[in-house]
Amino acid sequence: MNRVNTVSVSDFLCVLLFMATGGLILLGSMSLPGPEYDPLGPAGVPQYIAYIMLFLSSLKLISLIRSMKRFSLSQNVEARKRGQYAIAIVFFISFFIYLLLLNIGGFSFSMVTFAFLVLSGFSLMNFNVSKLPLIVAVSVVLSFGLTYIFADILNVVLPD
Amino acid sequence: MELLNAFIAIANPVPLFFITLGVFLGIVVGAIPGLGGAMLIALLLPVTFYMDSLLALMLLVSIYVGSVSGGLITAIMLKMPGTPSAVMTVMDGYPMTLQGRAGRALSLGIMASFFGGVISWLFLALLAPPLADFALKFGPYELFTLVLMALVLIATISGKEVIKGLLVALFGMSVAMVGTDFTSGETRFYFEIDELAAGFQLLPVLLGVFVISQIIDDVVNGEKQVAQYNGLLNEFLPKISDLSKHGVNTIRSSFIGTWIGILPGVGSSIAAIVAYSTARSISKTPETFGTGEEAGIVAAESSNNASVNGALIPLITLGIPGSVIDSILIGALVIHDLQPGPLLFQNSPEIAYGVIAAALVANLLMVVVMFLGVRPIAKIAGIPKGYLYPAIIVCCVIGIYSLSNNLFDVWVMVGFGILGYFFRKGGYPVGPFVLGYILAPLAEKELRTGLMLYDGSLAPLFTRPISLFFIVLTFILVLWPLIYKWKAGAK
Repeated sequence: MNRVNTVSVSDFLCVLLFMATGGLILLGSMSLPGPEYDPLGPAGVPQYIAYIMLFLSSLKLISLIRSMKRFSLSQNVEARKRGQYAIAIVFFISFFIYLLLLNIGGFSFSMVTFAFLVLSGFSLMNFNVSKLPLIVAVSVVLSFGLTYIFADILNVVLPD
Repeated sequence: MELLNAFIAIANPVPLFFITLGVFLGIVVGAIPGLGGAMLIALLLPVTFYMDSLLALMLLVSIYVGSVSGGLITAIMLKMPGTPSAVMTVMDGYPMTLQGRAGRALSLGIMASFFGGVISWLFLALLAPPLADFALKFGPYELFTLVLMALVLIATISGKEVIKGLLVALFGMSVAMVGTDFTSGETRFYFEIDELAAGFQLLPVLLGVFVISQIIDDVVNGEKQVAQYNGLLNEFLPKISDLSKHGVNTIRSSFIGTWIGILPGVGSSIAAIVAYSTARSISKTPETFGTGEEAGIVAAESSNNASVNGALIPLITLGIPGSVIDSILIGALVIHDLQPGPLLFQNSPEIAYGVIAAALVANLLMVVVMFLGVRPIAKIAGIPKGYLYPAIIVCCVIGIYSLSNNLFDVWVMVGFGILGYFFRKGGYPVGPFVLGYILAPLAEKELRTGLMLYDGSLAPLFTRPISLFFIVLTFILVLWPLIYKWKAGAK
């Protein structure tokens, strides 16, 4: 199985993003009215930005394609990296579930925050069970403490 | 007179408390590798929304001063520069620690930071008011070329590849185009998403690219755990004889730092590198640099702290950020309905002079906090990020949600966090993105106003002396490093 290395993949994705953004701006500017108050109008400057961005990202894309090195993807991913990916996956899943629950609504902010803090803290501490009591204690203080400070003292509206 | 009034206003418990708090927090995040002033200032922006404008800006400027200084603690004690600006401090600071002279290295670093800050503050206090007066004479094309200079400079200097800096700056400008056009009132590029009709809000974008992307990066790659320093701190108190021994080096490095700080996008780490290289090339014993040479620490620390006040000069007088943190400070001004630039001195002199006065007081308090708290701060730097990051995320969510009571902005923050992560992975500097995003509306407004004023002609860009000066200066500043590299290669 051949793959480009990870730095190139990120680079490649960024270039595609820049090209897509340039394209979207040109597409969006088609529906904008022409110049009325000034010689450029609302679409003028964005169009220039889009043209330059498309030109530069095309140059970058060509240089990326030309310099793309192919090599076999190692099947022996380091154990440390595997562990780190597991941590990252649990962390990000807990983060997205946290935001989704807030989006759906109907849950106590403190409780959802507490659950997120425990799960994400546990994963970031390498799933070390011996640290769980401290993580739970810190999470209780943070979730209920932050809710108290923001909602009760500062009168900030929190999602619920 | 206004400056004196600003100092009198600061000499009260509440401003002093916020400045001390800012300095302390800044030093702590500056000491923790991976965090930093930009992250903390972005994180605190939503909180300052509820504060008095002057107190908020005093807090943020103090964090800025503290964060640049704090990097030296872990750089000297643990060979881990807390901030990029402390990278040259490691060169001689850590060898001194290995020689059992950590206390002496810290003492020199702290005092050099202090004098660097004070010398550059004199430039800030003396130059800012007349420069702001002068800038009031600028027309739209002068402002446009000034903004263009800042954008081109930061895009070409801040990354390893010029094209990457330019692309990411253009992307930032594109993001700023979403929303209502100021001239026609037309809503642009919102693609029927009602929440985007007002454009991307400043805070979700800033918190996304600075805070969330850093967290994603650290979680994916694993955090670099900071060790604990348990050695002695000998010779920790500064000596009077240091003034004569390191005075010239301090003044020279502070000048370098101030000048580099004024240039948009160059930043404190470059200031430290240039000042360190200069000190080494001038030294009679250049071979001692890198082995625990005191002059190396003095050069690096006085210049990086001097760059802070240097960068505040274009920020306060012209509304042009000299560094990434300055661009966030511009965001803070905007959030508080203050107009960055020369009008700040005219419309809100108490803010302009308050910021200048706070910069000096923060420098003074930095010395006190550093001498009293080096050891505990070094211990705080060792707190595992497993406790910090989830709490930071919750603070971000609360801060962003509270601005508009809308979770859409929270998702925007996450989206820009993911984008920021890929920028970092792909080697695209985030500085030009933020500057592009912040400066694009100003550049567009001035260009279109100029075109309206001069019947659609661009000729005044080259016939008006100030705008021509900025165009020529842009070319010189962009080409100079290339010529320097070419000459170095030819040798």
